[in-house]
Amino acid sequence: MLYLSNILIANQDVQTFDELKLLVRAFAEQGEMFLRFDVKPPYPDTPVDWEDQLEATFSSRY
Amino acid sequence: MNTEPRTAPGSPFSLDDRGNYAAWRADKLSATGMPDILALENPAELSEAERQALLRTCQTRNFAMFRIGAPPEDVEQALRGFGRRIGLLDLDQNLCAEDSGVTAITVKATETDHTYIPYTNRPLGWHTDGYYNAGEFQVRAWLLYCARPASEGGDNELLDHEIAYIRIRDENPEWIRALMAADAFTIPSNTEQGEEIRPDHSGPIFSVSATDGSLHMRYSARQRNVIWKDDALTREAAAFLLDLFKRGDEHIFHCRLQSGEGVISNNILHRRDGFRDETASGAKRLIYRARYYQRLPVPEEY
Repeated sequence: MLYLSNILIANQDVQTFDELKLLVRAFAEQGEMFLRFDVKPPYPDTPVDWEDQLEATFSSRY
Repeated sequence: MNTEPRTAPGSPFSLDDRGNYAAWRADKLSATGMPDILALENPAELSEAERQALLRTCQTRNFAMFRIGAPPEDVEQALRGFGRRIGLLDLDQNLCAEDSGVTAITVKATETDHTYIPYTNRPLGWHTDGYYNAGEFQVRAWLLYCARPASEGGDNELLDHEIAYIRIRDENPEWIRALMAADAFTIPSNTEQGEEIRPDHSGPIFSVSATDGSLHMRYSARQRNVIWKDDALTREAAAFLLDLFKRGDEHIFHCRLQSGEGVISNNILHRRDGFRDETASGAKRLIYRARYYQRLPVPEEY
């Protein structure tokens, strides 16, 4: 199980929501199956529907 | 309380009866390739030959594709008539359904706080319809009808849930046992504007109807708003399913519905690509959907 908080902690050079989406997609492509949305990304451009967008990014292959 | 899933004697879904399973499995896997698209003159006045052809295909594949000759003027009325004529009488009316029980799925703003992904242009992951419904309100059949495709994208993929069952059981029968547990899959409550409109409820992924012995699947590949039972077998089975979708399977069928085309099914697994609507004309992808609490009848039954 991959936790969003762990991604954020390990990748503190990421500064925007769009960069985070690229990272989440990369984790999915590496074979991660499950992602837990345990914390809201703290970026100025984090949209209201951030969970929907990250879920679509992570699991669009499924 | 005994929570062991039970099946009727002779059922291919009994984990203790390998003989019946083997025969049923061989039969299921022998049906390969996308089924032909069946031409229908007028869905509300379905001929007996058309109805039998649809039901025969659904009996083998759990879904059938159709194409309507002349698009009906009143699509919702035509689809209600189509469902009744084929033998589906128990329409589901969900949170976003129009009054008729037939839902127009298109990109639209929601009046609630929640975004329902079907009404956006985003991809929609693998699922069976009504997976969030409580036990007695399981969706057993649905139909989709395309009035207008997207300018780009919006393709569907389909997988007979019985094929998914076979792939899992062949890999590890204990995963099937785990997925048939009454607490395998929980949908957390849905609250809108402080009001709980749906309580938490748990249920199995796979269940066998006590009435007709058919296999039902309740599933969503979503990462949010679903809670898998936290044990090794259930987690492994869930991961195997996601991996199956990722790897692909010769029984996963790809289709891009054109105007006048549709799918009718015993609530098989399906997904949708994201899409883009025509910006110049404002024409939106428009799909109609009806869902039923009963399965399609078998051809001899009606």
